[in-house]
Amino acid sequence: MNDTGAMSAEDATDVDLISRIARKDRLALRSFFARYHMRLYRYLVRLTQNDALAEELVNEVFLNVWRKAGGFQGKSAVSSWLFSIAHNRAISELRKRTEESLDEAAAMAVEDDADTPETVSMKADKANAIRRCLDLLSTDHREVIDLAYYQDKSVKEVAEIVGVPENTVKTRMFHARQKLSVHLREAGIDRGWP
Amino acid sequence: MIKDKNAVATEPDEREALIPWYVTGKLDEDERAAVEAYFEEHPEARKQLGLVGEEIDATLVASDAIDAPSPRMLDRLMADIDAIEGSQAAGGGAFARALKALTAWLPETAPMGLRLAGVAAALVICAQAATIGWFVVKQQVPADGYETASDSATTQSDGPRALVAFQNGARAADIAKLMDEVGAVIVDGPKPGGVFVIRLKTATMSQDDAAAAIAALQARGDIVKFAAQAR
Repeated sequence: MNDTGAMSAEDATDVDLISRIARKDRLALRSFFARYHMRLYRYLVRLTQNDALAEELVNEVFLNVWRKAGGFQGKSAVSSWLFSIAHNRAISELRKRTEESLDEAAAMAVEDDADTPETVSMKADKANAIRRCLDLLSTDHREVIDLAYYQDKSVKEVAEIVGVPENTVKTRMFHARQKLSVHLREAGIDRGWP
Repeated sequence: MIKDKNAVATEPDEREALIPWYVTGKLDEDERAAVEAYFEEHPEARKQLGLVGEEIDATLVASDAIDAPSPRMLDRLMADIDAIEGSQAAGGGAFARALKALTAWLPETAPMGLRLAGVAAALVICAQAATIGWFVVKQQVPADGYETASDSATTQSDGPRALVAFQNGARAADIAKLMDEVGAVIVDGPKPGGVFVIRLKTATMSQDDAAAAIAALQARGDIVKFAAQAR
């Protein structure tokens, strides 16, 4: 569903599939899986930074879809509903796995990078440096960037998925990009912003 | 705005905070106009269009580089569903008791998927599902009807690559003419956010020449929303 409330052909197909899944149509679930499992898997790998956990969570999410399709009320796009299930499961798992210590380790890695050969290499390859610094962002920051840039979600859709107000999404994205610039500066690359 | 726990010092102008979605084409008319007004007031902020382009490129490459998950995922899912349905159909009968016995070796805290996978493995339930292709490529054609070259073209490496997003109202004929003028060809896209990958045709092009070509694209603000050199 777009921001004007109009439904795209893709949304209509999703809604049709979900209503068939609610009637326990396995073929519809297979089609829905084919449409979304790769996108969902990549989102979860980026979010959790753990391939095996992401694969486990994808399975959990589609089991949830099978069980709860009948409860889908169409208040948001099907894809936003799907990603919000994935978000909640992933965050719950990450909390169990002491996310903070992982982030601290990542931050230490940046501080230690200052004069290593790796830094020189990063300077020589800005694109690679940006990718590496994206991985150093906090889970919240990395997620909003991934949802906006890779999953092509609007502010409203990101807010629905993550479960925060739209203004928080905008602020979070702004700070994520600022933090990315900070990491890049620490790695010897000045983007000239902020 | 609500304070973000990850926030660093500066609070954004709301219009500036919308720039990423301006580039990905996910703003409504009013929001787009507000961002453009912000650019009028703060011309230096246009630099962020290129920065967002770099961020999009890095995000796309990072996500596209993720290996596909196990091709047996769908088999496993369907087996798990069979286990759920079988369990519900059996209610509190012999099947449920057998299920409980089979999962007793798993900890109570194991994720449901893992527990069900264990059941599926134990019962050798239903492996009839054919493995389907693991990915579906969304190859959209934009409203202006402009079609891209085939995916196979993306594997060519005989020229620097760049990312380009076109203005919503840009005409196909104007885009094609501009591509000819800068000696570029579209090789992939649209990616999420309406971003296209282009390849500059000359393999021997120097970095300066490539930068000049990108600058020529950026100068055509009537057609190009943003352009940035890719990896």
